[in-house]
Amino acid sequence: VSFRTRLFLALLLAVLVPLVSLAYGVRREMGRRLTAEYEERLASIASAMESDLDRESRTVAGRLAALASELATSDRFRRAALRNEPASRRYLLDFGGGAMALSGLALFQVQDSSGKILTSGHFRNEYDRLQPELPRLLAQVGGMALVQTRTAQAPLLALARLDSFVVGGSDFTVVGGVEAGGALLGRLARSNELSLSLVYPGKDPGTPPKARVVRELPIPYLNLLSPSAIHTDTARFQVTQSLATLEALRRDVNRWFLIALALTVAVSLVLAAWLASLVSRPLRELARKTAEIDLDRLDQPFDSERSDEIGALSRLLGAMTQRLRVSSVRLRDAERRAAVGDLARQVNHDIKNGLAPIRNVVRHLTQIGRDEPQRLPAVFDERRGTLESSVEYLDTLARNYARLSPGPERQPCDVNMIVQQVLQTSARNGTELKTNLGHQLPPVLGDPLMFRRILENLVGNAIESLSRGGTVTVSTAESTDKAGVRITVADTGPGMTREQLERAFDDFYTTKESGTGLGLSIVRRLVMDLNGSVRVETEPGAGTRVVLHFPAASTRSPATAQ
Amino acid sequence: VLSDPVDLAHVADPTNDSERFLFREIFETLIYLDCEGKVRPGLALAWSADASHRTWTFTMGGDSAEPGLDPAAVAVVSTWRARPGVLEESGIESASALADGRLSVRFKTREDSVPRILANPSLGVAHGRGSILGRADRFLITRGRPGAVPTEFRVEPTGDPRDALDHGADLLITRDPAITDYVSSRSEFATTPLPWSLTYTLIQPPAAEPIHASIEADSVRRSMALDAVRADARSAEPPFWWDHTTRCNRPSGVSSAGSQSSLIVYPRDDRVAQGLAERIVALTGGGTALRARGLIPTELASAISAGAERAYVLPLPSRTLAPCRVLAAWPVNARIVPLIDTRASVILRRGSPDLTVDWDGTIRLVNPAGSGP
Repeated sequence: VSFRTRLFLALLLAVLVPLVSLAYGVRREMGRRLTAEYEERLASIASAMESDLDRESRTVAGRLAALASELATSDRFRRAALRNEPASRRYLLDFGGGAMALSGLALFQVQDSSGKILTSGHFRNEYDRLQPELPRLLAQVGGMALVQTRTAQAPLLALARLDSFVVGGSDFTVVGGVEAGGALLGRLARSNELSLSLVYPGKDPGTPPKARVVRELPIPYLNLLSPSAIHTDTARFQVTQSLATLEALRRDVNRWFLIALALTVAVSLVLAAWLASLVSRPLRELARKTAEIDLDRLDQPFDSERSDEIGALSRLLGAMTQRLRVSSVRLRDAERRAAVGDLARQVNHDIKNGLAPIRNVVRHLTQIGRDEPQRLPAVFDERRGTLESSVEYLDTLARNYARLSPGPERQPCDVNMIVQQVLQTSARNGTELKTNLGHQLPPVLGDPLMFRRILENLVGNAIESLSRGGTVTVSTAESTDKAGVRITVADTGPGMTREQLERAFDDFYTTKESGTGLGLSIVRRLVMDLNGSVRVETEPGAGTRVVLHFPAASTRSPATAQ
Repeated sequence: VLSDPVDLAHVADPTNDSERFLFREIFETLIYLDCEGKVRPGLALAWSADASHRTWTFTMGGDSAEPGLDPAAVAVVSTWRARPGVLEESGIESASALADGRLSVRFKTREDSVPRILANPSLGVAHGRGSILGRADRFLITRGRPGAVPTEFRVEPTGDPRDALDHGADLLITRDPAITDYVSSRSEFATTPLPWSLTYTLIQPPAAEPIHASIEADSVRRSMALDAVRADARSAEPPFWWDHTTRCNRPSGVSSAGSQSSLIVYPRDDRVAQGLAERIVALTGGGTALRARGLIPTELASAISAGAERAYVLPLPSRTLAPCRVLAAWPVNARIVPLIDTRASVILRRGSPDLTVDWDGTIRLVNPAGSGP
């Protein structure tokens, strides 16, 4: 997990936890208080509704009482109702409609003691119908009920009251009411949040979604339209609270909380990114500078004026590179000194190789001069070539070193001839030298001196490994792909272990007491310079075979070494 | 004063007393039928039939001294030709104005006496009544010699007819007992009840469930006439012309399918029909879903044509010369229950011109003011 991510998560946690806690607390507290206030307010409104309903009922009762009083004192009613005078009958039939209109009622009818409708306002032509159940049941339930009746055009639900009067010793009942529909419910509903509905047998719409019933006001119910026997039942004025407002409030709170949360997260992200960049940028810069540190590049500036940990780290790295610079100078001095020593040892080695044939010839001539002086001129003539070639070799060597690092002179070389020259000049020390030279080998491209140095080193090494005698065989052959020449120098010496083989080409590695450890190292460099390859096959006790491969003069291949 | 709305589009089929009265004044027929059903001269003064009794020749009331076509005969022919449907319904095959000034009318069937259909207002012609200045709410009709004082007919359907009488109207036709009660104590007016002219009926499509058996009881119908409606009414009395109408080509488009409707519909502006419909609903008791509903004329026509309602309370002319024309819009094989008869009354200021009453209870002015000797 990156530093930036950790920083972001830390910031997020640091901000979100208190924010969520705060929001949860606010929401919970707000919900509790709102609910409490709602409950109180609802109770108040519901009580007011109940009072309004009672007032409506009393208003109806007052109007009915006035109409009953009017009828009780009306001569025309007396004539029509008691004496059945035809002339007054139309007055009686039309009285209901007029009285209902004037009193603002929606239901009005007058019945005699048998229950016969004498006049009806809401249904004028329902006269003479017997409906004794209505006044009887109304009286039973206390004089007020919700009555389901009808006009000629439609059903009528009314909040009805009962009154009565006596004319000429006969009882008459008056039933009147107001429509218990939308108008009444609208008058009673005092708040947009509370709705009033009527629930009665056959009509229970159920609680609408997102609403709850907060109060129910029961009221007797009479259904005059029932095809079965009319009986009292119970209806309810149902006060329903719409939860939409409360839910909207909660939604708003949640929305704003989410907005605040989103903003917080966004700000945290930006802040974290800024802080991370503030911290990680100098770290990345330090990392970049550190990655560029090399022995050749120890000049990276790590100066910092920061007083924090990054500043301290930067200064620490600066001090470290300073120390590295000092060490580097020392190392370079040591390397330079080692290089000079290497060169000196190599010059020494090469001069030794050049002087050895001369020494041998001189020894030979000395021996001949002492033992057979008469043959001295002949032998001198015989060995003068060796002397001259050795001198030429030393001369060339001297020129090469004089040029310090001259490029090899490339020319087609006869490998077999170089092999023979090397073997002729090699000190045998009791070692049997054999050759197995291939015929018609293609010439190889290179400096003959370099080939000679390679072979002299390898043959010399092989002879030196045969301290108890043995055979050194130098073979040449055309490579199997016809693209070059293979030279093999094999001895019957003790061979090398795997560890020795792995280090055989290292500089200064040697198993000999007087060796420089540069022979094979030089061989490898020279082979590589000649675009050739070298491979060593050896096993402890089984001798060593060094296989060289050089491309023919007409071909070139990349150098490889093993 | 005409207390009902008047629409000239109803010339062939007047819908109320005012239209019947006004159109009868504007449009003349070849003959008239008086209140006893006797044939009286109209545009035609005399008539005769040929041997087949299918072609009848009418002598018009124009100036016979002038040779050539009679203008009234020409007007009759041109007016009738503009109403081919009416001619078809009336059984008239052709009509032509003769060079001798007479009018020849050929009928589809043999007519032993002068065809009474010729007195039907649908065959009326606007000729011979002098000049007519008409607007939608005011008509001036001049009869008699040129320069005579015209008779003004004012259409005031929205006002209180009592106001019209108080403001000088000479004649008013009404079916409202309250109006006749109002003028009963006014000596300057004479109120005369006209013949029973409308029969309110309960019409049910053949497939509809019968309403209530008690409706056909005479006592119930009497009660309706007395208490359920505000009109000069009586229990409907036979004969009913629809009982004797058997051969009518009913339009195939009229449906007689029954329905589950629980409505009794009636013309919305007809208070008598409303009272009857409501009384019928009341008589069915509270346990039914039967309801009454008033419809405007277009809705009512559609409802009748569809035959989809439970029943219809409609006023029918108590007499008609073209029964098939009346029955044409009804559901085929509809059940017709006559309920009550109603009649209008004419309130006439004393000293006004005399009136005559036609076969269908419609009045006509006999001697309009200024018509001369």
